[in-house]
Amino acid sequence: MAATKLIIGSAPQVDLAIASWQEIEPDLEIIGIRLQQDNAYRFDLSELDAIDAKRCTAFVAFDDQFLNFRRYELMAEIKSRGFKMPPLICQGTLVAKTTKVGENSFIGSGAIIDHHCQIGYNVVIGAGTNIGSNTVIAHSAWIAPGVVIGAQVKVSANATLGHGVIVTDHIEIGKLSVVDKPGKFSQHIPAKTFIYAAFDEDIVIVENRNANTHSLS
Amino acid sequence: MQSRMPPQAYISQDWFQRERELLFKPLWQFVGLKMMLAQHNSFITRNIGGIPIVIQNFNGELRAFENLCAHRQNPLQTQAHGIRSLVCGYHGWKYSSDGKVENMPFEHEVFRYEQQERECLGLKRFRLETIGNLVFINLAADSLPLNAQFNQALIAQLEDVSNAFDSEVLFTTYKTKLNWKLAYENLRDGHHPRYLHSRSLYQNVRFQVAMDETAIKHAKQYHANGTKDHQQALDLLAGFSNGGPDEPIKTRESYAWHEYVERYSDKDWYYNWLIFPNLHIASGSGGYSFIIEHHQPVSADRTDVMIYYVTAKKKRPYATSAAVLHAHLMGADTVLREDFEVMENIQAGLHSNAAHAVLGDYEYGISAIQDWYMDVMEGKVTL
Repeated sequence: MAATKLIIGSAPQVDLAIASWQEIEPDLEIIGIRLQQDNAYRFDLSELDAIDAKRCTAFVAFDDQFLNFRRYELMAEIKSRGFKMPPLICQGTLVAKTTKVGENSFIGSGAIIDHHCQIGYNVVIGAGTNIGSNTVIAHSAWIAPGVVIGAQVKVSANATLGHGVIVTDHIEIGKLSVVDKPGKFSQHIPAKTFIYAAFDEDIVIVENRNANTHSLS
Repeated sequence: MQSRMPPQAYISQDWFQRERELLFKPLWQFVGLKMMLAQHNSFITRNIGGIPIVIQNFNGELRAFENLCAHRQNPLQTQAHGIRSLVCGYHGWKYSSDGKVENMPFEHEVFRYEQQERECLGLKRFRLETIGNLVFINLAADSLPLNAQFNQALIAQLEDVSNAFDSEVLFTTYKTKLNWKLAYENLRDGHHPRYLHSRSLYQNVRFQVAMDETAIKHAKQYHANGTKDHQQALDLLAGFSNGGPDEPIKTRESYAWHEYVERYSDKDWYYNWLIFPNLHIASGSGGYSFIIEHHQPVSADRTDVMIYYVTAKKKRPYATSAAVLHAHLMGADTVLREDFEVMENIQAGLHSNAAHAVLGDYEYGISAIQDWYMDVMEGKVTL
């Protein structure tokens, strides 16, 4: 019996994942499940209830919505049902043998990932991305197609790098940050910092917990 | 009725400078949120009325100073916010909570000030008051009491609502090409959302104009007569800031994160507070989250719109709180840009011979403020 793969997520990403799996495993039986979200962004997963996790593997294909938390939540839900979720490394990638790739991660066609990199789980690396050696891409990060990342970079969990971004060597992109402005970034980006071309200034999140102040005139 | 506001009030830099002296200087002005100043040495910097200001926490006490070293006027804090002692990076002068120079490296070796001169060295300090988590400063030496600018009921409401703010704050600035007064006029125009925001905000909140006949009558009387009476001017001023529940929300979605915060209210209403001259607080989620919108005048045709987003206080930390704030800003961004586009178009079209606005009855709130503003600018009343 041919192996079966469930590909679950939003329509464009599911279509891409199906095409990519078919290229690398032509005999694979693929079931695509294109989920709808309600107004509160909840998924209806009832279609999965009748599927035996032991008989197939799964892959979650979803965009960077909600700072990549929706894809993370979906993966966690599928994983909790007992599905194995191997990564999808597309045809035509060059991934060094010393580089490790986590579960449910996607590496697009033409991506080049140098030696001793760590690609966490649930990461999306777009087609044609170039990643230097000893770089860490933490879980649930999203790297758009064509992004260039230097050596010994850390892209933290849930971070997003948009089109046209170049990150130079030794830089850290903080957790939950978004860099979606074409250009070269040679300084660390703090966690929870959102840089968009359409915004005049960076969007930052500040949290001071010790709120025992009083005013003096 | 024809507005008294000439186009120069929106485009003239000379007018803008006079406005800073006659209007902004005597008034209490919002500068930031206390949650961003919660730790010892936490600070924010702002430019208020052309003066660089630093608000700094000294062991729990908030102080406002001119952000210029007494030595050679180098800015003391160079970031918009952060946690750092009040120290000049140029020659290492450190300042204490009273604005005096606490430590001057190599004081006796290289500076050698006379004792009297040394004792006078210090930072210019400004009055600072808080209402809940809202921080205000005043640039005038003999300023109005805060409760002359805002009435007690509003102060109580602002204290209540801002104390519901969470400590995690999203912050950004839009650099707009418009005069700040266009922003307060736009916010007090309840008729525009059905057109300008027909595909965004108006889908969920059906803003209605309030045809308050008594207020319309008073606005018309005031328009005809104006005032030269100081107390009447102050009474009017206090009436310009108000708010609370505005309109019911058509459909309020229940998001997972709602369970993790202490909702400000149990009403599914759009909350709106308009705080004169340039602060707006709103909750489009019925008290689960808040936008704080501060229109900081930069020049006659430039306004920095500083946006803060917070949720109601967290019951406990949760992983997606930053994503919640990010999603709020992305949602609000559409509405903000719809407003900016119209206001920037108006600004771009104004010229010295442009006609005055012609206000309808429903714009009685705008009319009253404009008439009061012109009485202040024409020197009929001083604040």
